[in-house]
Amino acid sequence: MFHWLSDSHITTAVTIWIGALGTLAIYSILYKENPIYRIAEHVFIGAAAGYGIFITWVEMLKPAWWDQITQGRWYWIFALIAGAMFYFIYSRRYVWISRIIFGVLLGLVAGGAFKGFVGVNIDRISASFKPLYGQGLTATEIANNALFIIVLLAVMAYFFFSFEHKSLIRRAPAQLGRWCLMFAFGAMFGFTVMARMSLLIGRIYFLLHNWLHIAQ
Amino acid sequence: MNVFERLQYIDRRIMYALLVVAIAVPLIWRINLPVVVTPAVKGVYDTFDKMPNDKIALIVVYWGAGTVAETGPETSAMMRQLFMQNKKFALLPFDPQGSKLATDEAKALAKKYGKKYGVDWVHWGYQPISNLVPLLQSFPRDIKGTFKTDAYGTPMNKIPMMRNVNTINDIGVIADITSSGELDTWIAYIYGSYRTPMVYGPTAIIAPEGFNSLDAGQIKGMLMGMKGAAEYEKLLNAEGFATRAAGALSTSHLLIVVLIIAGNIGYVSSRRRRER
Repeated sequence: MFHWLSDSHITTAVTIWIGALGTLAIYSILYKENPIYRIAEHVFIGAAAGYGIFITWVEMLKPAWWDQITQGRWYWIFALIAGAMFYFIYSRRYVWISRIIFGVLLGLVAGGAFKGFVGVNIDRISASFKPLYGQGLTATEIANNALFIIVLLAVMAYFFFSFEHKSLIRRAPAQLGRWCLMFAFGAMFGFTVMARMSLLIGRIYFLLHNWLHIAQ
Repeated sequence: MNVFERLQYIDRRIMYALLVVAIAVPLIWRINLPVVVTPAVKGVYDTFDKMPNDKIALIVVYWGAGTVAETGPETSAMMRQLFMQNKKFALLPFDPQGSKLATDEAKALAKKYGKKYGVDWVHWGYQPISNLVPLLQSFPRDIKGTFKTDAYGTPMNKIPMMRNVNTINDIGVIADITSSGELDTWIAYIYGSYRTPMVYGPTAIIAPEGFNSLDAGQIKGMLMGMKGAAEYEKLLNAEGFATRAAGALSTSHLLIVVLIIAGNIGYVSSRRRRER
């Protein structure tokens, strides 16, 4: 009865049809709220979660944990015990057990965060000190570096709140900084639009190319 | 309602329909708009190009089906360059969907370029993202101790291309292809400590966050979503989905600009008429 499942051509066609109908069902929300959209949304989330659990077991937990225990390294059972300690947060009586493991976790995260700050920001701070002369710089590079320094100082001036920006000397750089931030946010929004369009193009290409075979 | 007022209140469904047409037309009837390669994308190409052949590249996959249109072509283009230049790579996925999608693409490309699993590429197995920090502290010192088997349960020692890969010193380039913002963690624990060259393949929406790292030299290159992938495909002289989609990306943006201008004309004109 299920011999057709071993035929890759048929399974590919079925997969493409399910994908196409699922895509159309999801996009039907653009017209208005409807039950077809709701069904497709729930099926997608359920399938993604189920697949996630499967892969987590097969590619991660089984080789890294279960196989260790079954091969005699019994002490890996402590990983299960440590993990299970988190769930005591739901018990009023035994919540103290979860606090032990949360305390250990927070300590690790705090240590990691410090290392992270240093590792990430030292390079960035040193890269902010850009040269304005010498070192074989071209006129364009000097102008670019000067612009970078002006924008950096202006934006820092905007975020300097220790005193009011009343006089022109204090107000002008802060205003320039605000304009620079606005340009930056505009550029970031442009990237956001591009990302959304790219995702839509991906789905439309799938419908036109894989499903309807009318795109190259 | 006059024409200026109508320009301000175009039904969103009409705009969606126009958008679908603006995207579909260039995909069906191809338009060849110039693709200009930016220095950030050239940086990605050059970093892989300069990678010594005795080292492997590590391709980090932290994306799923939701962003496959952007991150898929980026991953594909990187794997393509490595196969074309006879360089080896390992996949390290942090997303279960990305694991499947990237593996399928790697298999298809390996078949096209005559490459073998375990000899030219390997899959280190899916890892939950909650494991990221402990993993980044562990694998640079002992890769085989951290990833005991590949995705299919084969011990790392029995995989030919992993024979001489033991520490981070055996990894030539790390490519972080992601739809999330965990690049700083990689920089903090890997680049900050070991100075392993890194390249970045984000979705366009998080690409602006990468410019700080690019400017500071923490990443050697960056692809900015589908546009970056199209530029990369041009460098590789291997046309793929991103190149085909570049035209649709331009027409969709053009439509949005036209709609914004139309809405503003409608708004300004209506206000002037009211003031009169």
